Amino acid sequence: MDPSVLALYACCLLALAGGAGVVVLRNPVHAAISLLFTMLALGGAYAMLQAHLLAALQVLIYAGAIVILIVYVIMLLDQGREDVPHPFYELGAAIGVPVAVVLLFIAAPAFLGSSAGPEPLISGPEACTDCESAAVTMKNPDGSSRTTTGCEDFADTDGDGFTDCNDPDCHDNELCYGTVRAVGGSLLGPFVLPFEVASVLLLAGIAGSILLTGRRPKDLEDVLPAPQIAPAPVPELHEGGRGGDA
Amino acid sequence: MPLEHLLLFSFLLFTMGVAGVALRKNLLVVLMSVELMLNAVNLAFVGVARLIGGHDAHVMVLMIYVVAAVEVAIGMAIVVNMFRQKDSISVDSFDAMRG
Repeated sequence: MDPSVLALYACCLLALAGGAGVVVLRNPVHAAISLLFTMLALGGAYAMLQAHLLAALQVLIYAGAIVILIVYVIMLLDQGREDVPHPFYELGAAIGVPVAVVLLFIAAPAFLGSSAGPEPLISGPEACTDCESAAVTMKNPDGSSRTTTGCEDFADTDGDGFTDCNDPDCHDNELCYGTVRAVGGSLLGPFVLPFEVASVLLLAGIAGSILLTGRRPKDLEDVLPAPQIAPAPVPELHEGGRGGDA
Repeated sequence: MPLEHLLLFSFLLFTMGVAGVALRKNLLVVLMSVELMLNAVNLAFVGVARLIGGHDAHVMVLMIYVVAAVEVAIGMAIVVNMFRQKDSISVDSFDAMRG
């Protein structure tokens, strides 16, 4: 079997193992580390699936930001282990686990028995012998177009100074699949409205988390010694904030 | 790897997330399980995008990243507030709508 296919299976199995760890491990820190392994393994799986940008973002955002945020909160709360003897001894588990198993057996034939696509998702060595079907067509500046098999990663087929992966004239071919240019072109082209709405959503998230966790200045006076707080401006800010809330 | 296997992996990961949300008592672990579910959906998106080509699913995964990041930020803020209120983040401690 091709190494990349093996790596994809290995990444998926690692992700599953990490997911099982999140559910089963009792110490929240261990669960968070397990989640970190899941995220990294999924990043590897994305890379095997040619989603290069998403693989990088998976590591940056999930493994680098979200898991760290969770670990910070675990550290901040310091609540120790769950006082439940074991998560699966509960009454809910007696109902939930059979339901999950039945759901799995209902849904599994949809994945395994259908065999709708004999076409493999990633085919290792065939990927390059298959180059004729995945031929790259690029337009030259003079309007003519050229077709290449595109087996070389860093070839510059049309000789305009851009490699095929980065060529502005190259769209939706096998070489630029999943790259920053391709996904970015999609993001700022047909999906520009969701892109802008996402920025509003992020702003709402920032405002919400500040509002939820930000200490009121009155609490601040209790915690900090008095000289560290500027005497005049803080009560004014406090009153202003209250007025906004009301 | 055929798409069916990838979808099966995705489904198993999603089921683990559901199990975590349903079974665990620790609010932080429940939130982590929600992240597992989001990632399972992402995996399915990327796999299908690999099969049919095009980058629409990649953009969708980016949007899910944004939602996940916002969800974690807000969720963690809420967890911290709940811990301040009751000195516990066990789900069982929060069984009243108010008070």
